[in-house]
Amino acid sequence: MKRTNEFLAAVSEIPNITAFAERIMIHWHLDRNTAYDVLLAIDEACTNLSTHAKTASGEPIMIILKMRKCFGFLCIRIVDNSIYYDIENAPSPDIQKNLSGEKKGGFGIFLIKTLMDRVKYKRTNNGNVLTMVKKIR
Amino acid sequence: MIKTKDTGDNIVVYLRGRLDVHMSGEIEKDIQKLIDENPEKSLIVNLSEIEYMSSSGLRVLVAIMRILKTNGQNLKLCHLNAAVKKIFEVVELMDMFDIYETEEEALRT
Repeated sequence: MKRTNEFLAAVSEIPNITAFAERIMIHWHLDRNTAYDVLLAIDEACTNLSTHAKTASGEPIMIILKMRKCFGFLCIRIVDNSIYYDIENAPSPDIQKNLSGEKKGGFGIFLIKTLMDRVKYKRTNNGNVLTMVKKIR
Repeated sequence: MIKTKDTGDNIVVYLRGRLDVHMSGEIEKDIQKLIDENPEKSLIVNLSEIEYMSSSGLRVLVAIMRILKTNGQNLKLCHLNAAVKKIFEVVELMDMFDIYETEEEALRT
């Protein structure tokens, strides 16, 4: 089964990205709760790229999603060609500002960091690599 | 197109399927239109048929609550499944919303 796939960073592609990840996790017989957490983390990371990320020259942003399972951990790698955005140091969402309308959202990165056991960000020459690790049973 | 039921003081909104970034914009627009057409009514959002919700869905619910409060109306949520409830708990929004187990309970309170 294919465990790596490339997608255009676009809102319309999010269901395809999560469907691809879901198929792999069904194949691996992951429990429902763990699979949901992983799907959500992938969704949030790819949604951020689709709605906020930019490239220097305006070319489309591509997302490569790689999933790997080893030693009781699921490793998800999301590679993209956008301009630097340091997810590790993103601020926590401000609930009061969201409720007052002063700020919208900011929950996605917080969800990723909370639901995954490890989140690592690396800038490369061509873009970014986000690695998320989830312990599996 | 969202499914709704007018109960007098409230409108019950039935959301179904995926509440992710792909669908949330359209749902937000539909609910905004519903609020504009019924400014004197509160909303009960029934989430029993939501299979999946991301933070984009959460953002829509926060926006709806803000609009209703500005109008002097309320937003109640009911029938949250375990996965949806978990998102609310993780981002510590459970106490910010009026959440009920069933639609009947939300209508009664």
